[in-house]
Amino acid sequence: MIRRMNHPAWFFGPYLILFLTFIVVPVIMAITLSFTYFNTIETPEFIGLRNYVELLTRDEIFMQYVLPNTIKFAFIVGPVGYLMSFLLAWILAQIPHRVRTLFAIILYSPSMTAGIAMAVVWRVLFSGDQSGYLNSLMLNWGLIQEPVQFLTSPNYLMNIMIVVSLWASMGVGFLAMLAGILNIDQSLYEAAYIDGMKNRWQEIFYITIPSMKPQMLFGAVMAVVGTFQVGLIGVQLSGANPTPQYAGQLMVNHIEDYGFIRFLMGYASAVSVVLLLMIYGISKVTFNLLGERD
Amino acid sequence: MNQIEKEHRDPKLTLSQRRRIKSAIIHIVLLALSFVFLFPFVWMLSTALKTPAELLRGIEVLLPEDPQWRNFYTAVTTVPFLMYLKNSLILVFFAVMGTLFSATLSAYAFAKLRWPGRDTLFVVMLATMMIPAQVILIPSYILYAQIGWLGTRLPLIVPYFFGGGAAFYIFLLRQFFKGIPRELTESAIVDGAGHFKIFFYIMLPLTKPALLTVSLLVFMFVWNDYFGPLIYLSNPDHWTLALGLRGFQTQFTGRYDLMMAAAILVMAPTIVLFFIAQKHFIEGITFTGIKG
Repeated sequence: MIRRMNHPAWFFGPYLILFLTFIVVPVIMAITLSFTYFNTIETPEFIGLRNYVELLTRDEIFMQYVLPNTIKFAFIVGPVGYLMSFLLAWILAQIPHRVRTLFAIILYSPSMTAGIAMAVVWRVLFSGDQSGYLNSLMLNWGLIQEPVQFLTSPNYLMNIMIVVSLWASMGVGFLAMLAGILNIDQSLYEAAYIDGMKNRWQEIFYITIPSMKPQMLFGAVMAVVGTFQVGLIGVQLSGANPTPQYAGQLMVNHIEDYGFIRFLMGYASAVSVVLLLMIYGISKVTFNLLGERD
Repeated sequence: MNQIEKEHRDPKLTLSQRRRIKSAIIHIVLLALSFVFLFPFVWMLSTALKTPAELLRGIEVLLPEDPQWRNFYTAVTTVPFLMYLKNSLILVFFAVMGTLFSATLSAYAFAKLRWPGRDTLFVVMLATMMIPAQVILIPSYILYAQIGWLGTRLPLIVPYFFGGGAAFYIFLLRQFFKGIPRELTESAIVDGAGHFKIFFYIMLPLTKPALLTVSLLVFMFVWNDYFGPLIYLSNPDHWTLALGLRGFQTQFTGRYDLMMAAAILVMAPTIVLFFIAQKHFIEGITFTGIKG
């Protein structure tokens, strides 16, 4: 009995079963569903590529708002958040241990509390009436004549989403990079200075970054996945899905809109498969940029 | 300031002077950043403690003259706060237990055992980190509808933690297990210990920081999760704090003080736990032995 309990299958078995049931099977199902018309009441009807054709040619909301919004959001929040994570991690690595921990916690705390509780704060801060804090402040200072509808106006919603997301972007990737920098063998730097390295910039590019490639890569993957999966923020800020005039509508919201508001699950699956392909493609590009052939 | 001016006049500063200037600049930058990062929290607390009159005066008042600690009490008693808390704790408890159970076992299998297909499966598993939750959401929803789990807590307990996140937890734990010297496990095998013994008596005790880290991450995720409960928990008696807070917002339109008090109470456990565990937490993320 004991001998049999030693078999590796006992260790990876539980995970493997759940992995198959809750990840592999659903992904296959999502792909299958994307080729059907399915309204959750009737049985799915196979319609070939029609969902995709419709998405790419006739879904004006997708082409005009959702796709550009997602790209804008992800391409700003992803790279900027990533660079900020690295820079801040690097700065933190230069200061003494005690202070460093304190600052690390401060920078990490927004990502820990992000979500519904913070949405309350942002909604009050940016509220469109006079009691909205930013509005009352700007009115007081005479910067504006009447309150700005930050959260319902298409001109502001997206930018506020970006700022709020950046504020909360020092997450696990940031901590991993900090740990990565701290783990670098100090003698590498000394050796490089003896070999003629001149300044801090060379230090970063020739020693620091190459020595912490796994963490850089991990941070990058987290940034890519994170920014494309973010969806709640716009809905939470504006309090509605769809967001006002689709100004903050991202892919994820589009999926929710079709899947769980209109219950067109075949179509929603097609959108989710497109999202999956986008994330896959961009991860590939990221891997290549970071020089990891895999 | 003085020192910076001096730097311009005299390029030949001593090393210690340069170091001090640099450290001063870094600290100033970090303090400014901390202010930006912390301001929403400070402001939140200040708003929660205001009187209605002070609320109307908006941002002018940062320190309420007579802090209304009662607001917290009012916020807790006007909604079934304790019930929401209980529901959140139930989900968190099972999610943490489930993740620890399956992630530690499989991490051990990935780190220390040999079996066919191990490395392939590991790569596949890491790749699933990239699958957006929404791709899985729709089929899962249909699946749960079929087996009658809609409206129960089961969809949030049984599989939840085996989604995209679990891959990361397994990865973290695997790195930790790998860092434990082979000699330790080999001598245990010589002494006649099986893998389960090694796992329970050597591996788990030695990887406490990692276990704590994983637990904390799961805690934060489940605690803050909004969309999962929103879709699956149709019964208001099962609502979690995150869901309850939304109801709170509509119920107390304009009572920013109460809204903030409730939001603080929802956030507080995460922050407190993090502060208690931060030393191990940061240690736990260090990816020890990442190259293996």
